[in-house]
Amino acid sequence: MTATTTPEATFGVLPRADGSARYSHAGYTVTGSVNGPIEAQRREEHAYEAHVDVVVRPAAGHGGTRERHLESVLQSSLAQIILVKSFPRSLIQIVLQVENSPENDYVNTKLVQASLNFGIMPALMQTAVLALLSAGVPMRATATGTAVAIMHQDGAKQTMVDPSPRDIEKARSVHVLAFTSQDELLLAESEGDFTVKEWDLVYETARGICCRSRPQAKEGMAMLLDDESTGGPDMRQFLRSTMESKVAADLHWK
Amino acid sequence: MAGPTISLPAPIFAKISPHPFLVRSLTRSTAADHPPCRANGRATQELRPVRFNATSLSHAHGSALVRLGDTTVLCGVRGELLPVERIPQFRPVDKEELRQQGENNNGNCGDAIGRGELRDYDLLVPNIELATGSAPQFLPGVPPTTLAQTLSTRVYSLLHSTGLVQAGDLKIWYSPKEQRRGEDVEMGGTGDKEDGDEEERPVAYWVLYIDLLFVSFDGNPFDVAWAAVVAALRDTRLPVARWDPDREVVVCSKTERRRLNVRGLPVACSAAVFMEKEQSEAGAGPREGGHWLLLDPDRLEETLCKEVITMVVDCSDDETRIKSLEKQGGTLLGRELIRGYAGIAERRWKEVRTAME
Amino acid sequence: MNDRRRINGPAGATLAPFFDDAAPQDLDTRSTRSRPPNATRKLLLKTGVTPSASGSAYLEIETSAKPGLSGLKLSCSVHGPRALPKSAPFSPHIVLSTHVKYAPFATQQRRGYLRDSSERDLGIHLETALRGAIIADRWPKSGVDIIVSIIEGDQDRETSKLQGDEVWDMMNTLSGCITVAAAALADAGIDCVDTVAGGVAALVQDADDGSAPSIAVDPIPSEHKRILAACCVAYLPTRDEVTNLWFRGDLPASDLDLYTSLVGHGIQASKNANRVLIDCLSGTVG
Repeated sequence: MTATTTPEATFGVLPRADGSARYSHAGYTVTGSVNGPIEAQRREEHAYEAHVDVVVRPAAGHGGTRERHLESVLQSSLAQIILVKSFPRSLIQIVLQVENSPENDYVNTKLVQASLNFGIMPALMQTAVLALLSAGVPMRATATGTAVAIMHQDGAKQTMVDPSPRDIEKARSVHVLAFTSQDELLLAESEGDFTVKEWDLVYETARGICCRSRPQAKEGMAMLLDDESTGGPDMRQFLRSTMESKVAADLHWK
Repeated sequence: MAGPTISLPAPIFAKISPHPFLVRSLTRSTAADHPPCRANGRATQELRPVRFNATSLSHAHGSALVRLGDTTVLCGVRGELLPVERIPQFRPVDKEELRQQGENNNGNCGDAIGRGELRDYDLLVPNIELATGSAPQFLPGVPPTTLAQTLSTRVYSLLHSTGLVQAGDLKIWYSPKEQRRGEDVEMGGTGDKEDGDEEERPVAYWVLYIDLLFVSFDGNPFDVAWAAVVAALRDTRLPVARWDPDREVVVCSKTERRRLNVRGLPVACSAAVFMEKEQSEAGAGPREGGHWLLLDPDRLEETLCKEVITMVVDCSDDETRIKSLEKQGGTLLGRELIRGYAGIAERRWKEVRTAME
Repeated sequence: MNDRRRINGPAGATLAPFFDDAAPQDLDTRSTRSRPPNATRKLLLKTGVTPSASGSAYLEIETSAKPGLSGLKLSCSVHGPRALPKSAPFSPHIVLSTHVKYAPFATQQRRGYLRDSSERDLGIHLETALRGAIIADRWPKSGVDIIVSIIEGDQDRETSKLQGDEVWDMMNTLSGCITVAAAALADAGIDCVDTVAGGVAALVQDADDGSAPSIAVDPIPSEHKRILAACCVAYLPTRDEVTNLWFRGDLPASDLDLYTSLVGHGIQASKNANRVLIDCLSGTVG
């Protein structure tokens, strides 16, 4: 459960779905499937755009109110990056099954409800994006997300990337940020006790992780990047290289 | 050239074509001294005044009625007892651990442990009921909607993360020594033979059921619900309880009540981003058309906006502390706007504090 | 059992606080009725509390002098008339659906979120009471929803459990529901033949010495030693018609006069409520 494991992803784990992906990082493993565009049910049908339906299933038990909250956050974010206007009156269904989460392995944690939605959010987001790519759903941009915690240790402030549930419990504040591939802030969820200044710091850190490999900015940001290279994995580069290896494998016959 | 002009009364225009209706009211060219306003007559940055009404629900331990324009929420807090025998995996907090924690946190004694207790034993149970006919889309007889569930989760989560209520206030202790000493005096100091090594121990917890009933719904449910929760908790007085070792039950005093110690005053402030274009066409890079940040959106505006932001701040101390930030559903609110939003939330905090007191 | 769509709280069930019964001054809690037997409690009625609904009303019955005895607080919203869903069969008249729900904090025992049988019962009584008042064939193929939330039940905090008189409380609640729903219907502009209002009368015995029971209007169970029978009527004053009558209790079958006079007193109570209703509505219009 060390915070700095490298992310891993596999495509096409579910043969019957239009697209699927398994993603694991920081102790979380999530499998996602995407079906769509398919026919929408009457009550979900929208005359001008596709309805994005997100279902989150916890590692054990049934989903509760916490899952509904996660779903609604993901739904509103993913509907922004999918080109929903291209598929009117249809449905894009995303199912995310949590397979493993570090929350399971310690005492007194209830599975159904807990206030910490935070650790798992980036993993869900990442899986959904990968599964959407695997299904070939047209998107305006991809998205990358990360979790950052601010810890107070021995009187010093410290940011921590991909905190474990234990760290989240001890942290002063926990933040989840997601960026689109055009470096726009797509999602920002924070909880705890922090100031605008601290949030700025978090923003910088998260941006460093999510939006690093921007070719045209590379030279200018080199200095900055060197300073922050300890900051954690490079999510966008990861997304790109995963996709590249998938394409390479798909086109192997050529 | 021009076809027959049809003029529609505003409510019908709003109903059949809400988006152009709102765009029209926001862009209407008016005199210079009269800035364009929203369909509800407010300026874009204008919040509805919040009002707290004292209520006295006799079956609840604390209650509050909060109105924000046409949104009205009633909150009732009721305490029920949870004896420790009923808690699976009950694990009393070690005194030593508590002290250590206290030292580490420079005086914030047992904060994290207390929070852990609240969460592990699930002592706070907030639920939001929208299906009271509070708006045409919320009719009873159906299970809670996604919105109701999301709101409940957000309140639940914020209750824990802000540490508004401390576990210490909800814990009922039994200290055999003290009680025996009291009895001794009464009985004339007969034998302290059985003065065993029984230690002070927790016997039960109060569980706070926080129920929110929407009487009327006109947008911005979270801000109102949260304000009602805070006001009701500040109003809460739990009966003084003690353990009766003979009957082995917790008995509460009928007359004595103790005020719940509510820490801080977090205030939520929400806004929505309204786009001039209903959503930019596929692939269009930078978005065309203007956008407005509408503070405290009403029901019509909420249905037309995708990107929303909620910031919870507490300015009780000198420095503004942000307790929660939620921004989702769009990409327009970037770093600068969010930083600026803290100022708006501060302003709201002052208004709410004045209204509450 | 666990409701997955709500936050449920601890796994082990919690207990309602158990109060120390030692306090001696509380032993003699039975207050006696201060009103004359034919006087109802004061009503407060207000329309338009839920602007997003077609019509709405709020009703509060004054708390009696003793603290701890709560008055009834009801809020009602009306949605409609609106088109029935396509799946519904054709209906030549308006379809009423009534929902009565106690708030979780309305009564001594915490109420769950799912409707229980007493709430369904109240809903059915309310529907029959209103059906007689609405001019139903004016809206074919449409429906109207009438939702009453009981914010605070008419229940004594301490004594009611001892007596097991929930039923009598329910009668008072029903009469309030009828009145508040009539106000909300009028606020929604739904045509009715008359304004309907509820009233309760009970046959009570105040002394132990076997004296003849007397009839009291708008009874509070805790103010009487024993309630033998009670009835709740929904009454249309200008038409002199009763739309719903709920009678409960033990009465000798031979004494028909007693029945009629009990109902008569119920009607009297309903007329009092109607006066408040008319005042409230004419205040809104005028």
